[in-house]
Amino acid sequence: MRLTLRAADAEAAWSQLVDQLGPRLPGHRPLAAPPTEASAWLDANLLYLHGAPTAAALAQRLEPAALRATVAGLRARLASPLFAVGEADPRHDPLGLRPGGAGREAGPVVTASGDLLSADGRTLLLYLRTEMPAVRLHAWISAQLAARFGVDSGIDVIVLPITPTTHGGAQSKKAAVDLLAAGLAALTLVLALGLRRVRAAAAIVIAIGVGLPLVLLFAGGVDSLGAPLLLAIVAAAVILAVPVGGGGLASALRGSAALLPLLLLPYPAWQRWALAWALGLLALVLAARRVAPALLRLCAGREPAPRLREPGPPWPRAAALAVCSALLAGGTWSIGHVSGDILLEDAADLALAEEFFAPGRLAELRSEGRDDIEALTAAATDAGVLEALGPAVLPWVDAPGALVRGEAACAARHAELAPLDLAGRVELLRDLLAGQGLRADAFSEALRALDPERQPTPEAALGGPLAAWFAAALEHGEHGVAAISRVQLATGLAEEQALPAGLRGPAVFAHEEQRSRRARLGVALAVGAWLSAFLTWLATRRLATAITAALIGLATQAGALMVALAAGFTTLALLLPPLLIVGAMAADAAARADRPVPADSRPGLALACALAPALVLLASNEPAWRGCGLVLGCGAVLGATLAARAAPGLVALLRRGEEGG
Amino acid sequence: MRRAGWCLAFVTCLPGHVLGSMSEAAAVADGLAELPRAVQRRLELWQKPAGGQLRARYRLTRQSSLLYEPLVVQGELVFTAPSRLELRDDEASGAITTIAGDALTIAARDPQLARAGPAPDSPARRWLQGHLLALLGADDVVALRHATRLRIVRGGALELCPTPGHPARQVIRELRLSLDPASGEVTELVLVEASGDVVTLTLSEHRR
Repeated sequence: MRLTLRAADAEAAWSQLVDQLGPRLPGHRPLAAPPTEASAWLDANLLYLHGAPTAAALAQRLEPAALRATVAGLRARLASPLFAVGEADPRHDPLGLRPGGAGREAGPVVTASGDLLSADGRTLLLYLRTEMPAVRLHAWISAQLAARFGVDSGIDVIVLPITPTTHGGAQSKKAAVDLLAAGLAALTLVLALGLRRVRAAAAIVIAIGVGLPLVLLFAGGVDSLGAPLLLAIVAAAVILAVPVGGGGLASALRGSAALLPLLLLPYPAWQRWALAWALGLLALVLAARRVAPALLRLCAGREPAPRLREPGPPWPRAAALAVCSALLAGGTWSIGHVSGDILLEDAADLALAEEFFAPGRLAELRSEGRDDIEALTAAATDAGVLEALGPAVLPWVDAPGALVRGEAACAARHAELAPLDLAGRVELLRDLLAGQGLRADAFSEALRALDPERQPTPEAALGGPLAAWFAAALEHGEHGVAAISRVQLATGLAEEQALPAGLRGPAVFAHEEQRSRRARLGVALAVGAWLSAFLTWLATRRLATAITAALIGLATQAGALMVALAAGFTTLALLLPPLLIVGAMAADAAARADRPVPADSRPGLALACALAPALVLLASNEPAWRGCGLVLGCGAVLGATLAARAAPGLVALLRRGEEGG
Repeated sequence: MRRAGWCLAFVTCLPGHVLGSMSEAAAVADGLAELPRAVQRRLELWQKPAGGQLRARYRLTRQSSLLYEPLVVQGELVFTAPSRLELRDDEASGAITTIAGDALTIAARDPQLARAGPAPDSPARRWLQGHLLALLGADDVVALRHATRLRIVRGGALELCPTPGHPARQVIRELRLSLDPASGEVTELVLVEASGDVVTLTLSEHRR
């Protein structure tokens, strides 16, 4: 939830509200340790925590001469008017032993209740973990502001729900329904013009429309990512209907297997769609072939007149081979330019990222144990791993383990510190401070921290000033306790940058995807081509036809991929389904190319039916839909051309080779 | 005659109206609008043409719970517009404070003593550094008003506080300045820190 101070009349209450609002809200979780308590804990345990100086460095720092120079330097720097902002508070760490935040970018600051305040102090970010609907939560917060802080206006409250998809919600569903309606209307128009029979066109679209709820059932609903696929499945069913593209059971099977390669990839949404597409397309084709003619007879419509049109002359074999080879080479080169980024950020995410962090770049690390002590001990080990990655990889870390150390680690450190005679050095430091006119009592906290018996063990942490924050970071489950560390992943990480194994989050997944995107794309396209070839071989029992179908499918995908990349659509996860669809449809057209065109087939109309939804998608205002439309449109044109002109030459070439062999 | 009289009145009023509008526009452009009149008067006295250099002697007094006695040092301040400031203490046991652009360095004058590196970035550092430069530059009201509440306190000093909720308030409570009534130069700066320390910087012998 984000609160922004807008008007001056709320300024009086703002500073109070910043520190006190969070704990009054339902499900409030601190985003960072409260600074005062964290500072007290760090100061009290600075000899033991991560980043503390080694025993040798500490011995060097506590040499009498070094101590004398440190105290004299401190006294000298006190003469600067900017001393207060020039270094950490000397009362707590006069020797500069505390691990500094050097390298960390100046950003939001932590409030007393563990929330984040933007650097300009006008925006407050709170994290609430509640099932309360956003509207009700908004009303609740407004009521709190008015009742507890006397603020009626001047503060903008924005509730940012964390949902599985950032584009979810009623607005997204409405846009998907609008898209589907526009697509169906476009298909009806194209069919009516192509068949010259309005009732026949309406019968096909109605029959397919009746089957759509079944597809929705298979897909588990429709969201903004699935909407283009829903439109594409309707178009594919229309194309496979008898008066349009024709084709038998083999064509329907080839079409329905289009998305099956997605089952091999780790995208749950696409895996679900792979099965929904296969079952849904078969159901829709069945509806178009069985229900549509019955509907037409019912409303006494005339059957569309058969129109036989010969395709244009095929290209010479060499030209066909050259075009396909060029497309495949270009496609292979293009694979290197595909982006593995899967994070879709909307305006609210970007606004949040500007002042705090991008929500999609947060990741969690769960350190598990049988009880609180074990979980915190494991978290301490994990915090060392996170710390080692540095601020270049993790600009923001909120890890409970960074503020504790396990029993064994504390004992080892205690043994290291034993020979340093810390008590004697503390006495010397007191004398030196007094000698420079400094009150040793003002540094008493820092001097007490040099006592090696004060150790940040998990037990001490759970009974110390940060106990509430540690408790909020622990999650109790059936099998034990997990300590949750939260980090922000930097953008633009190198591909070879390794991340801790247990780190989970969209940005971590995206990073893994970035590393394996080429392999994923290659595997999906190769499996798609093999499936097309295998199904074609089963139907025709001709190897040359099967290989040609696969080649034409791959060449079509390569061409569509190049166009999409040239137009700036580079996200693999969004390009993959339309690429597989155009590949399968092109392979199907190529498999039928070496046979005479059946009387009930209209290749031109089939192409128009493929282009109509693509144009609807291109006209939408959703970038992901436009990319999908571009791939579907280019793929349809390229696939139809290659299947009609290049496939016969390739089949002849391969048969000649087969016979020669 | 009557027509000539009307014309004369018109041509007299028109420049007056234009000049009035221009001064109002200039006040808005300078960021003086919406400020209390007393603050506006102080800022008008304080403002000077941009650029140039300022040299002055200073006497710094720090009252702090860290010290048995208040710390008093003297030295020379050199400000070069727009963003370089150096305060060099006369005593060998003092410090040299340098602001160069965004960087702040506080070092002991004695090179044998422990030397601290550039100060870490923080909202408080940015606020104080930015306002010190703006105050000595004496030309940019917008920079002076950034994230700041201005008011006149008892004694006629101009008080600058970080706005409510601003993270700089965790370190800085207020910054008060007194101006020379004749030249408008800053004669005294009092910094009240959140820790309770009070730093008084008295400037004299200004040479701009």
